[in-house]
Amino acid sequence: MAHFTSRRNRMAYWFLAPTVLGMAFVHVLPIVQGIWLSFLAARKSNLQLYLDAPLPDNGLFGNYKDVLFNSSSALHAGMADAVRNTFWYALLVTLGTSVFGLMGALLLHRAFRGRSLARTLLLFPWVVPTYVVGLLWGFMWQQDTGIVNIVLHDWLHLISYRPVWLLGPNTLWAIIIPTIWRFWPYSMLLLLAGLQNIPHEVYEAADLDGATVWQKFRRITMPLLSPVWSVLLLNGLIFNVYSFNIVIMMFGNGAGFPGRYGDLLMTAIFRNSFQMWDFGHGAAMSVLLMLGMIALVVVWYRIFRNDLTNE
Amino acid sequence: MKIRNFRLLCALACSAWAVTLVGCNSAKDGDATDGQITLRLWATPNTSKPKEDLEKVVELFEAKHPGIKVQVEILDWGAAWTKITTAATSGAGPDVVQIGSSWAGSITDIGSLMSVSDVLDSAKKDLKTDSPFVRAAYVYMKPIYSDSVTSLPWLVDVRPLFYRKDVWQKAGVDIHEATTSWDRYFAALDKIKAAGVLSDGQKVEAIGIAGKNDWNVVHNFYPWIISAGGGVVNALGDSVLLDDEKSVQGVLAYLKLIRSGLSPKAYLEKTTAQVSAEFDQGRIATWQEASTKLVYLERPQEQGGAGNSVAAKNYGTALPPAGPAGRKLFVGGSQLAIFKSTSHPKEAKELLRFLTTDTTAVMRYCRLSGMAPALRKVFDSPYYSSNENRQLFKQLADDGVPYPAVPYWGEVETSILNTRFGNIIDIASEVNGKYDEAKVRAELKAAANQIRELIRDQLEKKPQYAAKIRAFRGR
Repeated sequence: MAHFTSRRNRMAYWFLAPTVLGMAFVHVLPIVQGIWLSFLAARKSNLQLYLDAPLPDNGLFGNYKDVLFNSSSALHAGMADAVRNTFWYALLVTLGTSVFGLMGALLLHRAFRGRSLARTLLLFPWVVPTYVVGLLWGFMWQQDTGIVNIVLHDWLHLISYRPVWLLGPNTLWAIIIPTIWRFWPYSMLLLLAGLQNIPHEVYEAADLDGATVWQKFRRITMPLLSPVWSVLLLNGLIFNVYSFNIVIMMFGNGAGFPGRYGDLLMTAIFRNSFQMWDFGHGAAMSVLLMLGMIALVVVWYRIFRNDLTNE
Repeated sequence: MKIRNFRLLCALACSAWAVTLVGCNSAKDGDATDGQITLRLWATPNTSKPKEDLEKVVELFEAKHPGIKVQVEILDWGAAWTKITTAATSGAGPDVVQIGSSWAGSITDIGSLMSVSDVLDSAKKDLKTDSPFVRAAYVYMKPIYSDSVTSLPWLVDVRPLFYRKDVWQKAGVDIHEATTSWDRYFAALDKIKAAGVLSDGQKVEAIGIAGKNDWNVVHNFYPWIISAGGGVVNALGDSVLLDDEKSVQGVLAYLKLIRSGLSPKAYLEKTTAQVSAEFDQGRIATWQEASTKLVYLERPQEQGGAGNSVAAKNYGTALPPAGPAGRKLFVGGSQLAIFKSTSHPKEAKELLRFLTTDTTAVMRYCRLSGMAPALRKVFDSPYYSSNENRQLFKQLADDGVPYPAVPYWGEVETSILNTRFGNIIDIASEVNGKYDEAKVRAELKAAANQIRELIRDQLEKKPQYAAKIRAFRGR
């Protein structure tokens, strides 16, 4: 029997090997290369040297020092704004997609005529490519001709003036709202799958005990959706911290500057280092971001460990 | 055992196939079996049909050189910088490449462009002039830290004022008189604003100023800074001028167009293309854009132009306003260069020379693209000298002040100035509190300090730069 298991496993390893090798090639090698680059003064003037570039003049951790403490470094100059924006962006988008996703899932979980059609229509934003979302919403936010102000101001009279969305503090909302619009169907799908996995008998038992709708939602639905929440939270935070397309397309297709309230970590890093072929500083900033995300994943795992392992 | 053999057989078959493929691919680029040489030409989209239009010019070359075939490849502007610098680094580029003028310093610094000094010398002889090209282009041909000419100028980006003749007339102001000084210019725009001219029932704004979501931000600020007597850096690129009082006054004058309501603040959310469309639709009286706009206004709508638009029926061109230090303008454009990796340097030089110095070729391409020629002789053509809207192109090119061709200009423009000028536009838009001149000055100061640090870093890293600058000063 043991011999059989071993042979069967060996075959499984053969099948897994290409995937493992592929993952190592596309994930591990670039990460190692990125970390290596972060210690080098790799820049445009010595591009040919690439991984053989010399160390920075200010020591092995020179790039890290520049990014964190050098006030004349372009990356450092806008970093506080980019960190603040990314924090709020990731948090609010994750929250927004979860809330709207839950609402959509609860709606579609009920039986009604045309449910299949509604499900298809609600998925529509998710099939729009993110760069198209950025481009389209860039037009929609225009103060004078954008559809958002026309609806809010001219048609619904909800506001007494036409706000400027793509300049100043409103910029943050101008990037958060389209991102929620684009991604909430994904949360809805996962939560709907989670809802459909909750046994109906649990709700019947609660009904016999006289539980209200709110009590059932709070005591049964939400706790039993925990594994889904955990995945949504992690996926949402990671994806949104690394968000790039919507912002870059909304603000000049990569040529512009999203402003102090629209610049995210990814756009700041891209503009100030990689677009300038300053690989050393860009890699250092990316490694710092990666470490931050690893810390986040550790915290996440500690919080949701039981939900992930319990049957 | 059989399975193992089968695996081995599969692996051998795959390897053989891969080797065959590699072998197929290893034939040298540009070699052809029939003895004809193929040159690869990378260009960015300069017209609405970039490949077809450039091929119309290239076929003139091919007719003169039957043994050479030119393969045109179009790079999107957004990806061009990355592709060209990658090619420059890897040595796997085309034979001839179009580069943005202000990139010349950076790409030359990578060390992968071939010297074309000999092409320039022979062109001078053929054209019987020591200065065949417009003045500004010389800065980019031989960047400050280069020992030789690494590119020849092809197209020049000049930016006239486009104005609505009817609106300026109704306001009772003459644009040519108004642009002789900033004071007169502002007074004229005030008059247009006060006149409240309507066009097709809609209010016409005095001028349009696009916002920060655009690659033109620095080019828009720059003429105002240099016309005030200031600058971003000096001509040698080793000293920062941006926080000098003259530069600050130039920036403040530019912002006045926004702050005094001559240009609506709503335009600050728009790109150049979007505000340009506002001009076409008759909502703006004055608008500054690249000369390509002229071709667009002349071309009928069916051919992708705006020839039927409100603006196209009644527009003219004028020189931008002169500042306290005179009329100094932004001038950009494109150069053509040859990668050292080319297998056919002689033929590549022939193509470069043809595209940049053959009057018929330059003329044909400028007519298609709307860009101004870098070759001075072409301005003598009636197409420029007899056309009232194009007459001023030559002066625009001559009044142009190029950015210094230093390897770090890309960082200065894209990373530092784009961000700081973007912040300044936000301040002027007043979306986050009242306008405060001190905040504008602080942004300029911060930008200047960042540029100083960048220059110090560059000169320290490459002592040969400092030596070159000393040599320039010595002359």
